[in-house]
Amino acid sequence: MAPAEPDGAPFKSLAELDRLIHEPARLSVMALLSVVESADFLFLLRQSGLTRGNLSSHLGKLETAGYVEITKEFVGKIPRTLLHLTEAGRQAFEAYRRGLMEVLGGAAPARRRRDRRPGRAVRRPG
Amino acid sequence: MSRILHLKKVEQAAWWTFQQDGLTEILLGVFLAATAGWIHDDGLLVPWILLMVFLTPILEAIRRRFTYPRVGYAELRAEKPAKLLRGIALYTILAIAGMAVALAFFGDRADNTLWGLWRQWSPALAGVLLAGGFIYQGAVSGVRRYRAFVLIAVGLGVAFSLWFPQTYTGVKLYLLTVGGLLVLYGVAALVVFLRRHAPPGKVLDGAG
Repeated sequence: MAPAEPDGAPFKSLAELDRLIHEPARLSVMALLSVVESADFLFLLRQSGLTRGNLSSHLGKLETAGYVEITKEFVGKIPRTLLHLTEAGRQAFEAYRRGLMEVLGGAAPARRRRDRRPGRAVRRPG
Repeated sequence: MSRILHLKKVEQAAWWTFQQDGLTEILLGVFLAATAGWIHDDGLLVPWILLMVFLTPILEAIRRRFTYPRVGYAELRAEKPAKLLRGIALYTILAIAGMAVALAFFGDRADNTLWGLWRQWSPALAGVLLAGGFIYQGAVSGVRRYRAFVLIAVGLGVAFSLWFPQTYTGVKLYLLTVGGLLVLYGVAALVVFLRRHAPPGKVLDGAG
């Protein structure tokens, strides 16, 4: 049976992924916030490996989108910025995660370079 | 190292961020030593209860001073207290029931009363109960060294049960030994943690 004509459906699904979350730095922040109730700026900074400016900028975008809520508090006399995912943020991250798994879930793993060399092709049964 | 963004591992890493300071082990060690003191002298019951009540607030206060300024703060998604307590109660009941069955079948009753057998094997029971805590810590942090803690806790428990068959000396020495080992480990982990992470600045989060 001949394979079906490509209709570009998987790539259309890719285009439907949330681009705000798709950016690697913001994806890191969303993933980190998704596994905790809340976290402060320093925790995200250390865990994500981003620079302060970069992290601030991405947090600003996520806050504008309504995915992250930022609150300021004082621990004694020291200020602390606490961040947590909003309900919309959790739902968006979950939808993104499911969408990405659906798009890539059925993909064959990329072949290693050595398997593509002549004479080293993977032997298939039959 | 895996480069896959595995959310479970991200969560375990977040948990370990705060456990790596060794403070939990130090305070657990102190608590075990205090328990040995209470078994030795009933008069120490009140200080022991006070220590048990204030253990968590003390840990949190020390972390606020030394840990959070260095690695940041996160409120972890802990198990619901009721579910956690149910789990602990079930594990404890199973451990005691397992011990009862083992003593009924394999206990040497020739020169020992049933109470004497329980007393003899109390270090082993303490080891099994401690192992439950370490198994939980290992599961939530994904850190393999807790497996070694499980082996040491149970192994020493059995050893002390065999070395001190007649008196409560076995369980007292067991608690002191394991408590001491935990304090030593915790202090070493704390020193490594303090060296590895920069001292605190004036602003906790860098964004103020």
